[in-house]
Amino acid sequence: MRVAFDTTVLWGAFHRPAGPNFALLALAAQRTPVLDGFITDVVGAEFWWRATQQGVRGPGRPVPRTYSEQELEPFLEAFKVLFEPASMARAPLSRSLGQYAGLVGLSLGEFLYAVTGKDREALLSAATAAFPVTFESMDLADLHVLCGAVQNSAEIICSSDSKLLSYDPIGSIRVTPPATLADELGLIDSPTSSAQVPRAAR
Amino acid sequence: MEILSPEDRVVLWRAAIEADGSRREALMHAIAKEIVDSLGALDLYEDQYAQLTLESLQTLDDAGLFASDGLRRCLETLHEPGGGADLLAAELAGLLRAAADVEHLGVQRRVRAVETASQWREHVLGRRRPEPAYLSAGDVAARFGVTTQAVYKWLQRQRIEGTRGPGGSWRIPAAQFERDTRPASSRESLDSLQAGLIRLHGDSDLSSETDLTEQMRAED
Repeated sequence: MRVAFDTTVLWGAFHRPAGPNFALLALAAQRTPVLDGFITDVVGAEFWWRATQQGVRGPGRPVPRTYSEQELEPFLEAFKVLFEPASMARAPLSRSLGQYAGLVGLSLGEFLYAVTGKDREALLSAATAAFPVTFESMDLADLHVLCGAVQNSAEIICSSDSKLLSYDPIGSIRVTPPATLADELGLIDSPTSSAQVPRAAR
Repeated sequence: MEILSPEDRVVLWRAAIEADGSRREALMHAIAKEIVDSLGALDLYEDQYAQLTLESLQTLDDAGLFASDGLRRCLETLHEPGGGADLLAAELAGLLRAAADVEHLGVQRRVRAVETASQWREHVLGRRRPEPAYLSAGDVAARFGVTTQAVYKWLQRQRIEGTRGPGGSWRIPAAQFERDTRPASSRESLDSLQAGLIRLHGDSDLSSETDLTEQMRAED
């Protein structure tokens, strides 16, 4: 079962380390035969940006909590095997977004300057300079996830985001929330009697 | 050593679920003793195991997981040959990992739940195997940090290979878990990460994955 994990799965796993998202990533990272999961470079870059710059709010926490490189390092180290940088083919959109991932969070003027190399002062004084660039403004439909999934032969996209991707199949690729996938793999406690298991499973 | 029948162990388990206060506590001790007695030659470590078992059951109870169907089944088969005790130890490890997600336990007990799960895992994996080429459902659960119920599901859906021996216990070829030669993360490193992240987030309220996603997108 080849599964592409999107940023929402990493985000959930990081914040709920004993929840189903973490359990799925852990199963894939241990190379169990039941789950062959991967993370693209753009998904990793988006996670990094959200953790270091966007942060997370919560009850009684009006200012978003962001995370330092030192705080993120153990998480990314444990799951680095899922990035498979040596063997992973990059989708065209993934490649272009990966190139610009470091520019996320800049004002539009600075972003355009970095991309076009044109007159910095003219760009920075433009009316659009007040709007920061986000991952969604570069990739409105989250196509980088789909491209990464197709290019890397995924059968399933695992995502908590029902709005951008929806949970309808995309061609032969099933889009599934982490809780559903975790339940399918028995990672959420549910009654399954050993007596129901056939005597020879192969 | 007097061994209860499988039916009596389930009666004990049900009685503990339905009891309150000191009676519930006494029944928990009785179940813990039954488990420790089943673990075999523990020698000097018996006291530590008795403490570990009781602590594990109490954590599961406080997390609302003591009434788990998987735990009942493992108690039923506790003394069966072919690794009944290992099945229960692996199930305890899997359930304790689930307990680590229960917010009201507090940071210290959630971290401790992960540590205790690791101890049960080591107990199962440290046992000598009569047939190293084959694993039990408990071995597979302990190896990957899941419950035995998850492994039964994998077998049921034929996601992993396995056959049942004459006694009914599973024989799962170990070789299938060595076929993927890509770099892998160890369960130990993942347990350490889990405990570290629980400490990092501290007592901040746990948002659901759905809430986290909605908030993430709302910020864009």
